[in-house]
Amino acid sequence: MESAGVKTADDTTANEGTAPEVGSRQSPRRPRIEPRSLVRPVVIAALVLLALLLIPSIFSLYYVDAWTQVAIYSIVTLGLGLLVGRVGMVSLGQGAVLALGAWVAARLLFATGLPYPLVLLFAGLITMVLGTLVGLPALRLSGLYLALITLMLAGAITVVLTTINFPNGGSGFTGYDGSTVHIPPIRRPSVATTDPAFFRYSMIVAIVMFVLVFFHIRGRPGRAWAAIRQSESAALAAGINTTFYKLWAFALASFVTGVAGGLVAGSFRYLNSLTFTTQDSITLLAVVLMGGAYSMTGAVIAAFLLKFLQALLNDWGVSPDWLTILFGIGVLQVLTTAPRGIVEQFPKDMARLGRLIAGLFRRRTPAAEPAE
Amino acid sequence: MPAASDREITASLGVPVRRVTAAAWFGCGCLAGVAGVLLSDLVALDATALTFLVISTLAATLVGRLRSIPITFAAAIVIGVITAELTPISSLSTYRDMTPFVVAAIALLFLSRRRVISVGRQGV
Repeated sequence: MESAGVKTADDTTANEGTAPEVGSRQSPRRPRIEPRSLVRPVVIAALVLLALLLIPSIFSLYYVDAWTQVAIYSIVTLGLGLLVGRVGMVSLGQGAVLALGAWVAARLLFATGLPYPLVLLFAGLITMVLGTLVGLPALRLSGLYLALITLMLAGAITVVLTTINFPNGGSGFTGYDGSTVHIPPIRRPSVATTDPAFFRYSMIVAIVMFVLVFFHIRGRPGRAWAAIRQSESAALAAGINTTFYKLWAFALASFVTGVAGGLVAGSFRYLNSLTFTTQDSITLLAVVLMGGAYSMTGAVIAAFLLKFLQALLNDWGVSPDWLTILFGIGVLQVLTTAPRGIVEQFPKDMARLGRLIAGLFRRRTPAAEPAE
Repeated sequence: MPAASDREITASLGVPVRRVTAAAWFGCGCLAGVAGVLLSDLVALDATALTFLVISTLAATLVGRLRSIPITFAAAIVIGVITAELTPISSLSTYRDMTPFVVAAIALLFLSRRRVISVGRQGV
């Protein structure tokens, strides 16, 4: 049938050469999907499906909870990776945005009887508005100043949340009742009250968030962000509304982090100000840089580093403070030798190792060596 | 020392960049050590609390735009005085830890109101 092979839609230069080969087929050329380009999405979808189905049955409840945290925090690292990698804006305040999202979700869950997905949506939207308000004046800043001012704002939000406390079923705006003895737990979605079911719920929400960000990156915002990251003055000269697209990045990152905050509220069930510290924001940046800020797989690796290693070390009886040291050294290593993070560096290193081993074997082969 | 912000140009002028930067780090370390000794009576000797403290001190350096030592000193004193003066005011007392952040945020936004386009550079 098709003897000229499969072509991608935008490969037009080869078409003129092979048109006579195809013969008299004058039908309009429809874009064909190259089989090779489908392998990666299919593999990823298969892995995700396997994880969704098998993890609760393979792992004990403790590790299922750890995987739930990985799923939830992968949304947060996705948002931060979007800001740092795609747009080039360093934000040290995502931990505070997460705390904000958790606060809003907890307040809504206690005050109203809305179904859980709606609560997540509202938490995301409110956090998006607040995040954009914060991002608006910070747009003029870049690099170090932006990082420092987001850190300052994160510190401010942390202090405020420590003072007004997280909702615990009380009434009034803050929903905190300091005198209650019996604190009700934050409710979970009606379909996912058990831990394994909540793990699947979180994974599905994470997949939805990843798809949302994916379509942003593939569309016009993604191209604008790439232009802004390359050179903001050049992007301005090309007619891109940099202010609008930077705000959009802030809004998107805040939205997904707010939704993740809602999931954190449901996962932990009892929130206090110790759940979210300012150091969390800095650690988040560290793991995002280590995992790879430029890719979506990097976000999952970053969340794994942040939450699963912690659970693992806790289980083995090693103090999780070692992780802080690991992340510090890791960030130094990443920034000096592998700026694109583990997700890009690991395959390269493995390939180099493979070549090294192959080279050793080749040297050992007597047939290849001249007689000595 | 302010010229050390653009290393290549400074180095081509004949300034020993590495020596100057090493001296800066040395002085910074000494001052931080002295501050730590003075703080030992006032702050809980806990790793997380001390890290949080450093973030607050960043606020003072931000007001000085990382350029002027007298302004940083003045800002630090102002922040410290405001934080202390808020203690007796009961409604604001629990928020007084926010002072460095609020001051830094206001100062930064006020001082950079004219800069619109960010020029891509390694440092600031």
